[in-house]
Amino acid sequence: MISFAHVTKRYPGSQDALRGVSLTIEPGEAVLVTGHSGAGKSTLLKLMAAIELPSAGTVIVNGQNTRALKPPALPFLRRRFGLVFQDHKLLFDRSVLDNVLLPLQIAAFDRRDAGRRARAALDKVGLLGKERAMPITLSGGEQQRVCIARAVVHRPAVLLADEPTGNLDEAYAMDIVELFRSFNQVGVTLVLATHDRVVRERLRARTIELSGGRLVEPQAA
Amino acid sequence: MTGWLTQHAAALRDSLRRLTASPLATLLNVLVIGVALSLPLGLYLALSQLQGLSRQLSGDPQVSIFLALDASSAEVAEVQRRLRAHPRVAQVRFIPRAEALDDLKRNAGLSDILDNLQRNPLPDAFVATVADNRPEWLESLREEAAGWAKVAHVQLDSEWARRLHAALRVGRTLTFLLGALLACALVAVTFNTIRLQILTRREEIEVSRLIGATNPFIRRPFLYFGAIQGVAGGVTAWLVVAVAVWILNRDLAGLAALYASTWRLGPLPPADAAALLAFSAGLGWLGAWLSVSRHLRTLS
Repeated sequence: MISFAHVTKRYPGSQDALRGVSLTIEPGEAVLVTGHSGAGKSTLLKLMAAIELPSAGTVIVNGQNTRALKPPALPFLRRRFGLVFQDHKLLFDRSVLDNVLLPLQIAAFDRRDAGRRARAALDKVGLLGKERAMPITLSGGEQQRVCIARAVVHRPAVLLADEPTGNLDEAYAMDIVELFRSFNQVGVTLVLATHDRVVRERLRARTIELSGGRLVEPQAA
Repeated sequence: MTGWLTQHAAALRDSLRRLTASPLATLLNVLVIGVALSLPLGLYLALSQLQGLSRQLSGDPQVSIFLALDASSAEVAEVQRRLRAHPRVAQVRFIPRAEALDDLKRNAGLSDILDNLQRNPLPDAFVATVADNRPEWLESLREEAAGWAKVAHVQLDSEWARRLHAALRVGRTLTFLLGALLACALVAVTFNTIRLQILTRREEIEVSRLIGATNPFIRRPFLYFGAIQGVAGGVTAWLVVAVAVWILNRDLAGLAALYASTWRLGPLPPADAAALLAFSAGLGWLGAWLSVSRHLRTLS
């Protein structure tokens, strides 16, 4: 479970990115975070994954207060999440397979087991057969699929996606949404930040709307 | 444990891959480190072997006491008695003047000249071995014996060796200072190399941190990189010194022959070679550690 209580996030030299946000996300739930650019969607996701820590208030992830954790413990908390980025953040000097293997290497998986899991993840996103390809040779949609494969390869409890369809045309975007839906159906908690109307309509999940760093109104799907 | 070993093996593979990916840059770095290390290493090797030589040459501290040519047997016996009774003298050897002349004829090849002499020009002498090589003991014995009747001259046989020993001590200090200075240079070279590596891998580090990499995981391949580069530099230094010793020994052979010696510079002993590699690996590791830690601090 992820719980925010009166969370404020202030970056040095700027105004509050989030102000007094309180919310709860249950295990296995699918949640859409919407709002205009600069509303605080990305900050909300970063706070969930303990990439950022709150300036005030508490963020509880799986019973752990992120602000109370010592710095060496934070990476282990982050491993509970799968992260999908709008700009993919793929390593272009590594093959598709090596990109997907990265979280498993970080988590010290056995080499053979890691290879098996990585191929299974690539199979899931429809890219088995492109393990040796370099990311630069893939289309935008394929690169996003590699990013998703990397996010799910270590079987995280929570999948966080920040504008995952932002640079994709509608057909590719729908494929990606279907992938997310399939992960959610097997129990993965899904938190997806988007301002893409098509994604919102297609996924039909609980929506959290942010505006100017404040929570507007939790709505049922 | 298996996972931990897997991570280390992966980091080692990654480091080797990166070292071999840019062979020219790697070669130049290794050469810089090797040449920097070879200077103090060569000095250390030369000084340690010269030190051994000086110890071998000086042997036990000795004082030679030469008597006057007109010293009678009784006077010789008196000097001998005093030396044997002296608390700082461990051993006394009497060299009669006739024996000294025979030795001179035998060893110096001067028999023709010496045979033509009307009389033996050499005095009776004693060689006293002192119980301790403390300079003040030797000096005090020299002064005391010089005051005895019929003692013409007293000579400290090991004085030149003590001077050499003192000079070597200065050399050792200089080597240590040079070594420390060049060790700093090695750390700086590795620091800079790793800094450039980090710049080219900034994205990878950022992504790794986002998806749960710990600082040790990020540091590890860089530490291996620095250590391997250090070891390669150490091996280079060892090779440079080995070649230098081989070249120098050709000239040393001629010089030593002039002193009826077969002394040569020996190779670096295995224990010292192992220490050199461990030291250079440690310095490379330290440079890498400082560089990555600085970068991780800025990210935090």
